[in-house]
Amino acid sequence: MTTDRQKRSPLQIAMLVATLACAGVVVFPYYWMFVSSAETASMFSWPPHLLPDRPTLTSYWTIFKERALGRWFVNTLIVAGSTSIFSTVIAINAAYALSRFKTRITSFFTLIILFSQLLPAALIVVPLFVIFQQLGLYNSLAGLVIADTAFILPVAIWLLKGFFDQIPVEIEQQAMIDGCSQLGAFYRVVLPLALPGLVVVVAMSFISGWDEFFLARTLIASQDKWVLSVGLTSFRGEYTLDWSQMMAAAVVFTLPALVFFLFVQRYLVAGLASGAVKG
Amino acid sequence: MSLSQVRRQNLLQLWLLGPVGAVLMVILIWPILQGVALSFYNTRILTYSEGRFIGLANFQVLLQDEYFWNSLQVTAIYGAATVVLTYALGLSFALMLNRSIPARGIIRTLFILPWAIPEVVAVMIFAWMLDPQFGVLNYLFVTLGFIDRPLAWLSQANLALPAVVMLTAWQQFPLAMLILLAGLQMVPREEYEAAMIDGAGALSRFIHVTLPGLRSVNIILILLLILNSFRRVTMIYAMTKGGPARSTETLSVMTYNTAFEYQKIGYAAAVGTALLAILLVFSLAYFLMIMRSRPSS
Repeated sequence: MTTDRQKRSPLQIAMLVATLACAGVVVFPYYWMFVSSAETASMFSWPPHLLPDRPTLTSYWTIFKERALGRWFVNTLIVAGSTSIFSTVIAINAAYALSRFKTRITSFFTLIILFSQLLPAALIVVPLFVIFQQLGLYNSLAGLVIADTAFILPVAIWLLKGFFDQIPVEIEQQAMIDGCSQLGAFYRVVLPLALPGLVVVVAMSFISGWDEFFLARTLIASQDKWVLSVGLTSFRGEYTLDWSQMMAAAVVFTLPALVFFLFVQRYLVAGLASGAVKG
Repeated sequence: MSLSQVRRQNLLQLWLLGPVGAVLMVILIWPILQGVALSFYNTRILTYSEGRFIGLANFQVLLQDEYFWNSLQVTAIYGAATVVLTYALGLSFALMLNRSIPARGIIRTLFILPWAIPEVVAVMIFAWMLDPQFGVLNYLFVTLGFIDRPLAWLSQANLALPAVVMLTAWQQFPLAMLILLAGLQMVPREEYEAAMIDGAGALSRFIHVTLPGLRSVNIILILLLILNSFRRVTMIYAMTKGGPARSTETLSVMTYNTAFEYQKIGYAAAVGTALLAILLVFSLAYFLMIMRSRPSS
């Protein structure tokens, strides 16, 4: 056994080094974003240097002073926050129904929810653009929240259903014997037990709403209602392109989503992976 | 259960599921149906109400439209390239992580990070890294001898698609990796032990135990990646808008451009409906595979 371990040790170390090297390559774009955001003119050099030459936060100052970034930040926060609240509240009820009832109604909804995850967004937005104009939802943050909510709901429901499935039915049956209605047992007994699942869904739908670009680009017209994803992309079309400012804006945009992601990644990963493997 | 109890149960389900039904109906289902219906009209965006029913005329034009055939080709190449690259990266990294290494949780998180970045930010970072003058990737490729001099990746028709494929694979391989990692952990340990007793080497164990063990996961994952590549629009649109010279215009991007750039709503709907039809075929296969893999779990 000892000889075996001695023989394998160098190989294992080599594998570990290779794994770490791959991880380094994979996260390099992140690193490059941070480095580039902390430089100004010095970043335009050939060959590029891996460490910032004279680190400075000038670009961060500039984007908040000279651009409407603050405004877009607030808009994004409103959209992501409301999307998160609405989709979680709606998903809670739906996921519970799909988890606890096996009827024709629920299997119909299961079908609809699975199906709507696979629809092409590019085709949906064409009529949606017109429908939103007729309903007066075009170019309004409220309209964007509704659209974002609909696109996130199927995933949110599916994720939350997984959490409810793990809670034994006996718990709410006991509460119903004690005089609760089924709905009361759900809200008072099951929901508190599913708190980790709720946190995951709140975070996941916040991240989706925060990152979303395509709907925002299509359904919002005026610049003062833009969200960060649309505003940032608009920088690239400009004549004088300042990559340092753009990377600084990218950092500002990425950090909130990243923090939420790291907070819940363990649960999110488990939920998504098992969902894909087991169906 | 008595009749009134059944009715109460049904009411409860409607109360719980009603809001989802309403939202999905207005934002997803109704627009999709209208999108298909619009493909039979010659509507333009500014005169939405004045569209005229023209039967299958849009589809007749579609079949003779060189841009449509170009788009089909781009979609196929983009789909094949991203699926192969994503799967290869996902499997390699999953195999690396599926062994006892120190700080496995932290290393796994590093590998998942590309997935956590907003798509438009990933686009911006890659556009900067591929910058023709100062891009660090250009420098790397020149140093490694892949290319002679820095290239303008995003403004040349033959280079833009490879650039978009590169970006896509970087951003979505974590999904493949996680699914494959979960799949690898479901392969029974005894089978590896039996193979080792039979004297099978690492490669032989991989071919005879690992790959067969991943079979159903593989099929589901690859179908999912194909579906994603057809539906993907944000990343490609934000990176190139389908250009230059329509070299990155997949069916999704063509649908969007036809509607919002060229303002041909009816025709865009026809392109989108063709996309929907292709998607439905793959979705059906996807659902059938999921159904079939279910009883075993």
